[in-house]
Amino acid sequence: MLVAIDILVGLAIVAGLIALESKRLKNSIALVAATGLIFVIASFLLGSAEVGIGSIVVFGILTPLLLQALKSTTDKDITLTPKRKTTRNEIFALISAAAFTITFLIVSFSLLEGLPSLAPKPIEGHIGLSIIREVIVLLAALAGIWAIIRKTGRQDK
Amino acid sequence: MNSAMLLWAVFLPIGTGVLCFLIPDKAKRFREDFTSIAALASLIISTIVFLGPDAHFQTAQMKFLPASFLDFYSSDFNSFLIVFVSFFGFLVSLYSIKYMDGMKRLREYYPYILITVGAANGALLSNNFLPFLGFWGIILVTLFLFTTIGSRDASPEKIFNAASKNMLILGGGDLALILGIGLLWQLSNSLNMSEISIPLHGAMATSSFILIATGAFSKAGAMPMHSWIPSMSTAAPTSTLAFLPASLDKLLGIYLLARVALDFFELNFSMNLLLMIIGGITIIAAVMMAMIQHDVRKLLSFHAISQVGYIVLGIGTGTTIGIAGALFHMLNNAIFKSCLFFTAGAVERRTGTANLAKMGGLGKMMPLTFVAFMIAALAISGVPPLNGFVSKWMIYQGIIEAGIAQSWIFLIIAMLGSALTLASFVKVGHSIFLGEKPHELGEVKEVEHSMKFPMAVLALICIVFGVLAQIPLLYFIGPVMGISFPEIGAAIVWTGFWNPTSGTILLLVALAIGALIYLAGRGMGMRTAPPFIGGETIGEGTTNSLNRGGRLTEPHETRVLGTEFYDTIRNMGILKRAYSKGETGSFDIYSLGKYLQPIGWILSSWHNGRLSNYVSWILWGLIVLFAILAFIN
Amino acid sequence: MTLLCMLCAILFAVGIYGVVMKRNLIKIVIGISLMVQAVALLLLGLGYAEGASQGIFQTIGLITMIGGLGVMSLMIVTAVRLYQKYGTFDISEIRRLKG
Repeated sequence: MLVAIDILVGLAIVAGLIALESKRLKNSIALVAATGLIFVIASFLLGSAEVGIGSIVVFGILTPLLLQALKSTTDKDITLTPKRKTTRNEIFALISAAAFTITFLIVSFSLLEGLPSLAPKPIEGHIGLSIIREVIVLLAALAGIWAIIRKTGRQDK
Repeated sequence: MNSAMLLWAVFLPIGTGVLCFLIPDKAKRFREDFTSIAALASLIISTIVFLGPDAHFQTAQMKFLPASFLDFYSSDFNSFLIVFVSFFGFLVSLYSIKYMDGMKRLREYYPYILITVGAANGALLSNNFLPFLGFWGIILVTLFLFTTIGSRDASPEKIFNAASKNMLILGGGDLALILGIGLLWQLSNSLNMSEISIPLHGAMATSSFILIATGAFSKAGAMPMHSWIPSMSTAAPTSTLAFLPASLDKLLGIYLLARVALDFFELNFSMNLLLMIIGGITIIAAVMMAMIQHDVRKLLSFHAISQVGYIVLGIGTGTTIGIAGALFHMLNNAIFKSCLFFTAGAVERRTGTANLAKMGGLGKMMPLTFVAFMIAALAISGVPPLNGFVSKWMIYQGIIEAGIAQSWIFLIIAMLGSALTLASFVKVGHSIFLGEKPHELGEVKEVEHSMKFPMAVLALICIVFGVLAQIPLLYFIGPVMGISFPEIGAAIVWTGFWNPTSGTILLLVALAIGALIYLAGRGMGMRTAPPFIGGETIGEGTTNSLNRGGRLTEPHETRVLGTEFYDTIRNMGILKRAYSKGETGSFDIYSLGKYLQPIGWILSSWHNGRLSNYVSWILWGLIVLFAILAFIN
Repeated sequence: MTLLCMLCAILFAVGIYGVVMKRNLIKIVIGISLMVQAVALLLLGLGYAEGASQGIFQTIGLITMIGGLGVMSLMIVTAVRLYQKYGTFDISEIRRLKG
């Protein structure tokens, strides 16, 4: 059960990376929408329907907003930033990010030791939802993979 | 009932001030009347609080706030001060109707007056340090905003510099105050002012005392923290000068200093000596700077600093009569200094200038302003029988009684300061009201009634508090010092050899005899002599340089300029260097800022405007937070 | 939980990478959206681990998402205005033009 969520987050990471590295902003935005979808599914899986519905609203607003921003500005949707040297500030920031991630992991592991390991738990009062959940996981995974392949494929052309 | 009055005294002015923001510019008259009436209502409430018994108001436990968060306590110490705060608020709101006419941002100006009155009442009545600091900070903010409104003749850069100087010096003082209160909290485990009373032992208590005193000094304008007043004086409207630096800030700063020196700590000899030294230096240095000023507002602002020196000196004596004299002088200083600023503003309004060299001979045209000015000037110089003399006399007695071996030095400094004050007011009186009127000045009329009234009232109080000094001493100052007078006769004995009422009668008799001699001499024919002009010579240097232009000076142009009265002193050996340093701001604590510039460079190199840089800072902050979190667990 | 924690940290790091290394304002917004998602997912995971009745995590997660939406929409609008003024989304170019 939680494995499904891990997979989803992994997909979100990949989608996010591609969104950042994509040359076309439209692709990036589509991938952001994909991560949003992943997030919605994950939050349903984690048993919080409120966050899921809220996130549908959030990404339902964010994606059109980004598209609108793109439409009202650039004529041709391709950003060719010239090659440039990474500045000292950026290197320092990346080092800081790495340090932060490591610290965060160390601290959270030490703090989360007392927590139960995440065995799937039945959510009371939602009998029969588990099958739907499985289906949703599969659909989500498929949708994510599909989105990634499709975007990268177009990028290759 | 009286405890609810305390709330009213604080929140009625603040509430009406906030309401006053809503009054549109079209209803100008209504806004002015509204402000005056609200200030009058505040004065009435404060008087009720003053006349009533000691009252106490505490809020109960609320959801987020601790119990007794708002804790107002009216005692003998503060209830007479709130009467005067509201009184000055009322006078300033009346005075501003005509003085501020035609200035910008009046929509903000009037609400600020009311909010300042309310916040000052709140700071004075607070018995808990937290609301005290809050109200104290509101007064700093309104002072800053008043300064940004700006005077008629100040350039935007000047206003900006003065306002930022206010904010930095007073903000620094408030920071010191907060740190000092933090230390005091550590020492006494209480934020309740009336509970704190600890001996001044050890480094922590001493540094707490010095930090709180620094906050009080910066508010009142004593010497190391004074320089915001002169720079503000030419940049801010004169009515606000009469309101904040001349009266309210003095009352608040000295109130805090007196509380900390009398209530919170039991002072020891070295701290008393420190206060006396600060007071002495403030008296003499500020009055020396005042003597050479050419702008009447700046001159008055240096006197405002100098008089604080007397108060600090009086508190530093540690004797009952010295402290009583200091508190009385605080009150008197607020009265005559506001009156002087009011007259300066009246003259400025009618002549359009505050430069002493461009004025003269206004005494005939503005008789009431002239009389009010002379009374207040004599009072600030400590001429009997006015109020300034009584309080200074008490301070002198306190110095003598202090029992320090070198106390005669302070006595000489105080008396010399008084003499120099008189000297500089002779200069101002000559420059503005006496002498010849310069040609550039057209017809000058007396100011309107709403501006006359505050000046007249304050001048009258100067006389009443001097001639009948028993009354304020009995009702305002006596209860603070815990001295009860069985009868007024005892009060007179208590103020030493000076009996105000009979002294006045004797003075009047002496003046009458002098007038008789003068009249008798008039009948016998007179010897004519060239006018005495303070030992200076009339020559190229003393004529009006604006009129000269290389021509031969005609008789009517040999105007004796008051601005050149003390040039001899100014050019005297050592003093010359001191003056040139004083004018370039070497004694200004604000100019210490240039030594902090390397820190500024480091900080600005950190702020290079690159996003990645700020991201790293945020991340390192988070790392530190995580480390702390892990450490706690 | 450990794996989810690590994955969320990586997602967050990817977001930081976008904010730091990308010059395009839209890409920076995308990076921020990834960071917000990472935080919200971690919160939801924690709530799940604590038990399904832990409503506080879900509430905070929802607040995180909505707050993130506010921040990002504001950034997008600012980016559009900057584009209208300077004709580019490139922040270093904008800084150069700003002088």
